[in-house]
Amino acid sequence: MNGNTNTRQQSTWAFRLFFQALKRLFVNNRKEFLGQLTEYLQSDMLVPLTKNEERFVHVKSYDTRHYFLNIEVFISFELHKNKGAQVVLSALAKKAAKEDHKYHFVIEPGLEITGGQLLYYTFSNLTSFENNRKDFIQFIQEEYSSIEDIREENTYYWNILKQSKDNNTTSEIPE
Amino acid sequence: MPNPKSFTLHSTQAVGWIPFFKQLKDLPQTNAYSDYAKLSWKNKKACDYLFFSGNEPDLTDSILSSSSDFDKFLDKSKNYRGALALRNIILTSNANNVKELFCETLPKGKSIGYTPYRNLISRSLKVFSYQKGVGGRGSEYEPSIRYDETGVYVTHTVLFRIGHIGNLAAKLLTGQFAPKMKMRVDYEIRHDGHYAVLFSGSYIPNQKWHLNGHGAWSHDMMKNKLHEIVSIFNANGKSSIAKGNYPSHKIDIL
Repeated sequence: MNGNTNTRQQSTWAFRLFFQALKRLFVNNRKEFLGQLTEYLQSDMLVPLTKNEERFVHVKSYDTRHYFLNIEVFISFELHKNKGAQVVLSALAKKAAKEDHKYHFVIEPGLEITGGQLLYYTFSNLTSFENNRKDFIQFIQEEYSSIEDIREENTYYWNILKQSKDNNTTSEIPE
Repeated sequence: MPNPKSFTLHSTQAVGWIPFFKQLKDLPQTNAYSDYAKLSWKNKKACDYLFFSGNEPDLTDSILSSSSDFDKFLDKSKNYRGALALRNIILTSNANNVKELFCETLPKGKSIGYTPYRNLISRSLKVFSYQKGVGGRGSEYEPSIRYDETGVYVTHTVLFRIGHIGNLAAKLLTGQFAPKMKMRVDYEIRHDGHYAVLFSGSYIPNQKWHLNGHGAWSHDMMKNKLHEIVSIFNANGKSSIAKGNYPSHKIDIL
């Protein structure tokens, strides 16, 4: 009789421990991670690019994806010299669905408009928040292109087109 | 006051992917990746992981020919590494030489594709997870425009990473960060109404480019030469975006 009771108690404890571990893994860890991330994304987010240069992160959109083992938060953002407005992440999630991929330029002779860089990054609770943060900064340092870099690259490719204007190398003309 | 003249340009749609090979010995007989893999253990691992994380693209020419089918493909399929579109491009000439340009890119985030994760130990073909980009990262340059004495120039660029095991793991196992890949399109619209389109992309991955719904250019990464492969893998996540170090193709439209 006592043996049966002990076994039942042990099973109950084992189940409770298992349940607590699952809760920690699937609920608490996610809540804690999302809380830390939200706080981080709503802070000033000043990232060092080099010893003398730093940029503020302006978050443009925010998308949380729930998977069986983890959650991922995919963000798009820009880097600016000046501080951005305080972000409201729930509003950003809605904004991401808007048609912000349509462009309209008004341009006069001699004018050039250089498009900025939009960056994408995914945070995941598979590693600690601190590791995510360090990796995020490293990604920015590797990926960042200044407006000057982009302008220089544009000039290079547009010069290729200019120089080949009178030297047609291709005869394919799609209908 | 004269009516504005409106001019619609051909749209560009392009997609990039890595071909899937279960093992390095399955690569085609003549390819420079096998030569690169022979140079060191790290090179061998880098190539092995690259092709084992390959896509099995369910992509047909008809998908690339239509913007709605292409959007559906990008929404549903995870068998692409990167994608680019510049479409619905309309150039309008108003009075006093002022021009207006309307264009569309892919919806934000769609340009970054997926890396399939398979079991490296069992070498199972089954994909247990698709990860967006390498760690879901990349970037794009929003369209740039210039109006000068030759005409109007428009461009759009997407940048994404390829790899199997994430950026930091790639660094640990292969000594290199996951290479940064690029796809770029440039338009030159001359004052006489003729225009040219220049497609450029990195040596990796495979690419298919469509203009006005027709196949216009493709790049087969299996035909890369050894020095081109070295330049990609040794870029260490940074210098692979150096300008000019890319295959490109120009089309003139009269």
